[in-house]
Amino acid sequence: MKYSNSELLKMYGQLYFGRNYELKITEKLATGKLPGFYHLAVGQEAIQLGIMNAIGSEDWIVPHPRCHPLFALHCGIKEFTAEMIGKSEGLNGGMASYVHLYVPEKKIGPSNGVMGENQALGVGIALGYKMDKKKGAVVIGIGDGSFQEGVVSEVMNMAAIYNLPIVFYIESNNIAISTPIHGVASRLTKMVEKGKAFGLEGATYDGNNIIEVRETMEAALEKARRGEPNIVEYTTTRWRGHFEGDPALYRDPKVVEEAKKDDPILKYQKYLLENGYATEEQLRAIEKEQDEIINEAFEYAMNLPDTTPGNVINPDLVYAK
Amino acid sequence: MKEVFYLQAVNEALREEMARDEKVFCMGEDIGKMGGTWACTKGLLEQFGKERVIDTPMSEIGFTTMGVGAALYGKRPVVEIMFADFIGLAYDSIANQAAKMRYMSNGQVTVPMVVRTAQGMGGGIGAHHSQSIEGWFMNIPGIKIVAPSTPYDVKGLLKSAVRDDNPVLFLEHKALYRRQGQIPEEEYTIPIGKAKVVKEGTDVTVIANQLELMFTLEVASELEKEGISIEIIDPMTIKPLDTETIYESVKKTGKVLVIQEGCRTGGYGAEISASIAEDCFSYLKAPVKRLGAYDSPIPYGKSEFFMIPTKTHIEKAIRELVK
Repeated sequence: MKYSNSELLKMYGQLYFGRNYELKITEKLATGKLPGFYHLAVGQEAIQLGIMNAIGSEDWIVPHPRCHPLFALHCGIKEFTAEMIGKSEGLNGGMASYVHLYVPEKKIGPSNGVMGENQALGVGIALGYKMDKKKGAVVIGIGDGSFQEGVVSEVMNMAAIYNLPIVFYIESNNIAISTPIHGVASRLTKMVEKGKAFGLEGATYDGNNIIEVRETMEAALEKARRGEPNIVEYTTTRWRGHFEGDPALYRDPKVVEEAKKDDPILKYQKYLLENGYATEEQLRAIEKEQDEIINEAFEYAMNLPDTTPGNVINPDLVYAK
Repeated sequence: MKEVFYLQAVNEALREEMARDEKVFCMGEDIGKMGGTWACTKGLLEQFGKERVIDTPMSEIGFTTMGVGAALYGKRPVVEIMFADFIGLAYDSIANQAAKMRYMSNGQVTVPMVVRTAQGMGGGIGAHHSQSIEGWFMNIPGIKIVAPSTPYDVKGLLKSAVRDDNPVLFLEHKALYRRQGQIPEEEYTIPIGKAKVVKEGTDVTVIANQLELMFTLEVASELEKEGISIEIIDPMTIKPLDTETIYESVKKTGKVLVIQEGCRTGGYGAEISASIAEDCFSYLKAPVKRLGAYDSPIPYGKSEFFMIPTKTHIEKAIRELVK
C-alpha cells in the first residue's frame, strides 16, 4: 500500500464526514430553516474525496457540481456551511452557495448554475496555466448528464488541440435529473469514448472505490502536468433524488437498493478492517470526532445573523472601479 | 495627426495594448495568419506569436467562456466574435459568466475581458450578418457596452476597454471599417462612460451613433443651411449611459430625437427616452422622438436600407420637431 495508515484513516474520516454532513443537511432541511436548494452526493462521495487527496498544492480544481463534502473539506467546514446557507460570513459572502461558489485563494471553482460552463471556465484557467508555464494542472469535473452540453465538446476539443494541462473527470451516475444516460441521453455506455474522439486518452474506473479513484487521478494528473490533457470516468450511483425534495418517482427503487450493496463507505471500511489498516475502535473514534465537527459547523452557521439589504445591494460588487 | 481607417485604429489599439501589457492576448476565429475577417488583427500573430494570438475552432461559447476563465486566472483576453449576430452562441459566456463572476464571488475577482465584434448593416448580407445588438445586452448588470463611431474614438475607447477591470462588449461597425479619420501620432485613451457632443447647436438634440451618426451629420449640414441649429451627441458608451451630457443638451434645446440602427423596441433609444422623460420632463418642449429599425429581421441585398432609419427619416423627424 502506497499510503500510510494515518493517511488511510484520514480518508475514512473524510468519507464519513461527506456522507454525514449531507445527511445533516436533510435533517436541517426538515426543520424548514435552510434556504435554497441542495443536490446531494450521497452514494457518490468516493469520487470527489479521492480526487481531493490526489490534487497537489499547485493544482486547481473545478469540481463536478454535486460536491458539498469536497467544498467543505477543501475550503473550511464552518466557512463553507455559512456560505451554503447564505450567510455573509460565508466564503463568498453568502452570494453563491455551493452552486456558484468560487474560492480562488484555495484554487477551487468556479462552480456554476449553468451546466457545461464551469468546464469551459476551467479550460480557460488551464490556458492561463499554460501561458505562464505553471507547474500544476487543472482538474475539471462533470456529470454524465451535463457531459451532453455542446460547450463541453467545444472545450474538450480546445483542451486537446492546445495541449492544456487538464484532467477531465466524468462522474457517471447514469442519470440526469430523471433522464437515464445510457441509451436515452447518449448512445454511448462509456462517456470516456467521447473524450477519446477528441484525442484525449482515458479509461473508466470504479467511482465507489476511493483508493482506485485517488490512484488513477494521481496518474492522470502526472500526465496533465506534463501537458498531456486526458480524461477519466468514474462510475457510481446517485442514491437520492436530483435535489432534496425530489422523490425520484421516475426511477425503479431497485436501482438504489442494488447500489447500496456497493456503498463506497462500507466498502472502504471493510477494506481497512480486512487488511488490518484499522480497528473497529479506531473507526468509531473517527466517526465520533466527525459527528462533532458537523454539529459544530451547523450550529455556528445557523446562528449567524441573516443578511441585510446592505450586504447584497452594492454596485461595487457588480462593477469593479 | 495621421489619417487611418477605422479597422487600422482597432489594430493599433490592440498592438499597443499587447505591447504594453503581456497579460493581454487575443482569441477568435481566423484572427492569426488571416488577420481576422475584418483585417483588424493583421500582423499581430507575427509580432506576438501564437500563444498570444490564438486561432480557435468555430466554437463561440467554448472560447468566449474560456476567455472568462483566463480573465479569472489573471489574464486580459480580447475575444473576437466575427459577426455580432453569432454572439447568440456565446450569450451565456457574457450574460451569465463574465457579468456575474464579480458579484457571485462577493467582489473577490474581476473579469478584465473585452469581447469585440462587428455589428450593423452595410454589406447587404442578410438577417444573420447585419444586426445591431446593443439591445440584446443592455439588460445585463455587470458588463459595459461600447459602440464607437470614428477611428479616433475606436482606438481611444478600445485601449480603455482593454485596461478596464470589467467585461466590456465592444461593438465595432462593419460599414465603418473602411471609413477614414484623423488620429494623433502619440498615444491617447478615451474614458468609457462619456458621451461626446459631436456638434453644438440650439434648436434640437439628436442622439445617434455609428452609421446613424454618419447619416445625421450629412442631414445636419443640409438643414443648417436653412438655419436649423442641431446639436449632435454620440453616446459612445451605451452602458453605463452618460446621461449627464445628454441632459445638459436636452435642457438647452428642449427637443430630442434619438436614433438607433437596431430594432426600435427595447434598445438604447427606449432607455434614453425614458430617462429624459423621468429626469428632464419640465425642460421638454415636445415629446421625445425615437427612430429605429423596423421590428423585423433584415433582408438580403440592397433592400436592407428599407429597414433602418436613413437620411430621409432623420430629416423628416427633425423638421417635425422644430416646426
